This record gives sequence, structure tokens and C-alpha cells, in this order.
Amino acid sequence: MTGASGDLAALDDILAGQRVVVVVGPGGVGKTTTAAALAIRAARHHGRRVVVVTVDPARRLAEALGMARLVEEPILVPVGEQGRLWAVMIDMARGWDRVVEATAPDDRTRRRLLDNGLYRTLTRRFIQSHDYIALDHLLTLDGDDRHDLVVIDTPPSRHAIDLIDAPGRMIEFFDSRLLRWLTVGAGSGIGGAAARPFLAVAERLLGDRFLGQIVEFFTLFARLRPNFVKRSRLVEARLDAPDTSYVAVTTTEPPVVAGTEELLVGLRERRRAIGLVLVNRLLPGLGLERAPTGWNLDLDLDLDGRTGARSVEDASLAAAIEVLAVRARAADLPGVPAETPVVGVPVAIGDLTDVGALARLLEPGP
Amino acid sequence: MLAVDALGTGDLDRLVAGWSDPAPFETLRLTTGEALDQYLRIYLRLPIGPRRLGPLARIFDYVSAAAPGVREILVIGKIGWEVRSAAWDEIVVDGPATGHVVELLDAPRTMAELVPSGPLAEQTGWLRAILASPATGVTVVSSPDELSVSETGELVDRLVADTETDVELLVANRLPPTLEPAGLREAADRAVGDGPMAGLAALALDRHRVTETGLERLRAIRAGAEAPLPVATVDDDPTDPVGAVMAGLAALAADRSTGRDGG
Repeated sequence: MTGASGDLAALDDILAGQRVVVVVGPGGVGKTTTAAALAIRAARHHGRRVVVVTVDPARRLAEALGMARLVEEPILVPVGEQGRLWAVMIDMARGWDRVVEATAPDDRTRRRLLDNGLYRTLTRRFIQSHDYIALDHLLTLDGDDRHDLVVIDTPPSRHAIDLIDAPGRMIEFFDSRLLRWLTVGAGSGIGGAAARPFLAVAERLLGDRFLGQIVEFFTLFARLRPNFVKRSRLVEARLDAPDTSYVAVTTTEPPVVAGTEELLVGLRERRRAIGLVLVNRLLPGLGLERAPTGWNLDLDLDLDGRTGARSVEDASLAAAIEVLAVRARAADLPGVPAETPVVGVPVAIGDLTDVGALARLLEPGP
Repeated sequence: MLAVDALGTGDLDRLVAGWSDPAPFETLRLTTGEALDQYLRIYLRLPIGPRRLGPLARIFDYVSAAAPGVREILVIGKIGWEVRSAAWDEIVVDGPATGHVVELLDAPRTMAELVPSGPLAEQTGWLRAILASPATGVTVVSSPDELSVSETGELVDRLVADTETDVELLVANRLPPTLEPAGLREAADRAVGDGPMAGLAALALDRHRVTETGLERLRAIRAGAEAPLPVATVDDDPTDPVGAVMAGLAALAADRSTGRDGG
């Protein structure tokens, strides 16, 4: 089997009609490559003006697009006659600064927070650990008239669903008791008294000087609350909008299948509609077959792996094919609801470091 | 021996649950709540029961998702305590993905800069000592494909530049069987045309080519350093991936004992 299989019409509907495509999935499934391939197809086949965004710290998207590196300002990627494609990589530290600039109630708060030592250390040393910034950037790109489709490649997450929860978590954080304790604890009165036991514990752990820095940081941070919460709600609304689609990328590897099932359940619980499941890196011989209950993997080998390998003359080639055939036979699909479209993408043969190779990933098979 | 699931994904427990024999090691799945519970008990000696910790753990769950660095400190603190407890001969940590591991290993140093004195400073001091100790090392696992090898090279450079922990070993994982010259020729012939067999032959040919280049690039990582990195090669064995890793490590150990790896 060569070429993409399954419900390619559903894929094209998404690429032709949606405004935002969020590519989600467990780590190591090829989200970055898939995001690039989707963006290229949207531009080439549907004439869309696409921006593809990554926060991947290892700069894989840049490599996949055949570029040395990406920067924050959208870079135009040549994709041919139809459509336009820009690529962007979010600088996480700058991303935080941008959010602070957009949400600080006044210049003084903005300056003090951006200059705060704790803020600078946290945002610059632990730059990869934040899901929220990736999604917040959607608002900026969504308001840019140059693009009519944003494809967002999401960062590796502890659990892929963490990403979807990021805006809600930020809102909860602003409303949390901890933030209240830290901020009112600096003052006096009833609130300060309630926070005292907590602050006593924190002081024991952190020392009074560092606790002072933390309290200052959170006091400043709390002032962002009205605008930050408003912004987070806008991000949530964008993620919930009918013209936003989620494409869940998976493979047939057992741990990935388990992680994908967790993700699909999580998305359903959050009432986020999965636009499409893309099963990546299907081995030769594996195709997708629609059944009444959903999609199954169809093993299209007219021989079993051993017989096939034996028909090969050279022992080393027989061993190599045997490994592939065993993997194909053991493959499984995550539990996907019957109504969800599924597309299978075969394992790429050759390097995926240019636009042409990426485009071929989603070309239908014969 | 203790195996730690630092991300709390449950992958390690799922793997062990599928074995017919009991695992010859304990596992520890570090969720944020458990890491916090342990942290407060160990470092503060606070008698906080699970019922009281519940809401606090939830708050910290927000914080660890919202404030960068919190989870890293909790996780590295718990692992450090396990090292210090001397209850284990060896601790193996299944760490986070490429983009996150440097932040995890560098967390105590970052905290030391933020908190120059007090109990936390003292704790970060001995955590840093553990991470910088010759008894602690990082193993980087990579598949031989081009993008993974590029990421591995970048990661090793960052680990060397930004952390105090030595990189000890590279594992080249899931290497397909090597094709002999006759096999290469036959694969090229069979790859022409359609059908699963042609696809399998084409893939075998491609994997051979990718693996040769990838292995060469992996072996070149820090090849000029004072202590070049050993590279363990692990066969792709879909029926027994753990056994394949063990065999690859045993082969490297045997090579090193006879000096065949040049190290």
C-alpha cells in the first residue's frame, strides 16, 4: 500500500473550510511533520493562506520545511502556485513577555514584572514547560489578516490533554487560594491572618528573602488578572469555536495507542469535537478499512510475514522484512468513535526535509 | 533497584504489568500530587495527611501547570531523596522528552541562584552534588532517523553546556537488521512496483540507508571529546524490545571489557 488512505475527503473539508487546526497527540508520533504536511496541503490544494506554528524546542518543523531555523516573525515558505504558507516558531520567553505586555493594567506593573528577577528566571530557564503560551499565540495569529488558516503544532506534553486544559488552568490559578494567600499575605487584616500559617510554612522552606521575592512577583502577577482571565477566555473560545478542528495524530505502537485513547476520552469529556484521527507511519501492508463500528486496520499482506520473508533469497533481507511484518501484524488502532473520520498515512520512505516530500505524505494512494 | 516514571504517565507500570514474571525492580510513578506529598514530608517533615494534602495538591497542580519550574523541583527533589535514602543500589529515571530534560536536571542550580540561603538552599546544594557526582549519568536514547539524530546531537550539546551531569551513554535504538550486499541488491529489485512486498522491500532498503547514516552521525557526537561517548546498538525486536535493549547493553559491556569499542 502506498499513499494516504481512509477518509481523505473529511481531511480536505477541514483544510478547505476551517480557520484553526490544532494538531494534538502523544509525544513521538510525528505531530510536527503532520502539521507541516497539513499546512502544505491546505495551501497547495485549497489555495489557503496558511500559517503553521510550532513551539517545538528542537526546531523540527524548520528541518521538516527544509529551513535552517524558524523565527517568531512568519517566514514565507515556497509551496508553489496556489496558496501561501508561512512558518513560525514561538519563542517561549518572548511569548510570556508578550502576554504580560498585553495584560498588564499599567506601565508600572508591566515594567516591574518584566524586570522581576524571579519572573525572568522562571520564564527563561523553564521556557519549554508551558502549554499556555502555545495557545495564547493563536490570538495574535488569528487577528492577522495575512492568514486565513492557522495550523498549530502543539508542544510535547506530560499528558496531551494538559494542553487543552492550559487556559482553564490559568483562570483557576488566578482564582486559587494559593495566589490569594501569597498576595493578601503580604498585607494585614483578616485575609492576611488566614494566610499566615501557609506563609509560615513557605518561609520555613524558602527563607524570608526569597519568600519576599515570590510575594512581590505574585502580587504583580495578580494585577494581570482581569485582562489575563479575559484573554484566557478568548483562547478557550477560540479552541471551542466551530471553525476550530482538532487533528489527533497517533501511530500503531501500543503505548501510543494507549495514550491516544486517553486523549480522545479527555477531549470528549471536554466536549471538544475531534475533527480527524490521523494514523501515522502505517507500515506497508497495512491499510484502513471502514467497518460498521468504525475503522479497522486491514492487513493487506497476501502472505504472512514468515512466508514472505522465506520467499526472499537473501537471509539479511528476509530478517529485515520479518521485523517489519511482525510489527505490521501486531499493529492496533486506538478506539476511535465510528463517526470520527480516520486517515492513514504510510511510513515515509526517504527524508522528510523538503516541502515536496511532506506534501506526498497526504497524497492518496492508487 | 528503583525505576522512576518521572512524568507520571504510567507507561512504566503498564510495561511491567504485561510481563509474566515479576519485575526485578520497584517502580515509582511521580504524579504532581505524590511528588508534593513526598516533598512536604521529606523536606519539611510536615505531618500532613492525605485528606489535608488533597486541596493543597490540587492547588500545586495548577501551579505546576501554570508556573514553570515547580514540577521540575518537586520531581528532582523526590529523586534526590531516594538517592540519599541509600535504599537502592541503583535508580533509573525514565525522563522527560528532549525539550524538557535539561530544565529538569538544571532545576537545582536555578533554584540555588534564586534562593541563596535557608533550608531550600541547603537542599539544592546536596541535590546539585548528587547530579554532579560521577555516580550519576545521563543515557540518551535515539532512533537512527535523521531528525532524531539531529535532536540527540543538540540535546547532548545542551546537557554538556547547561547541566552539571555527565552524559554517559548513547543508545541507538530499534536498529533494523543490516542488509548484506546481496540483500541490498535484492531489496532494490523487489522495491520496484506496487504491493505490500514491494513496500516492505523499499522500507527495508530505506531503513538500512537511514540507519547507516544515523549510526555514523550518532558515533560522531562528541567523538573528539576527551572521553568519547560509547554507543550501544539495540536491534529492532517488536516481540521483545526490553530484551533487545538488555542484549545491546551487554554487547557494549563485553566490547568495552575487551577494548574492542576503542573506549
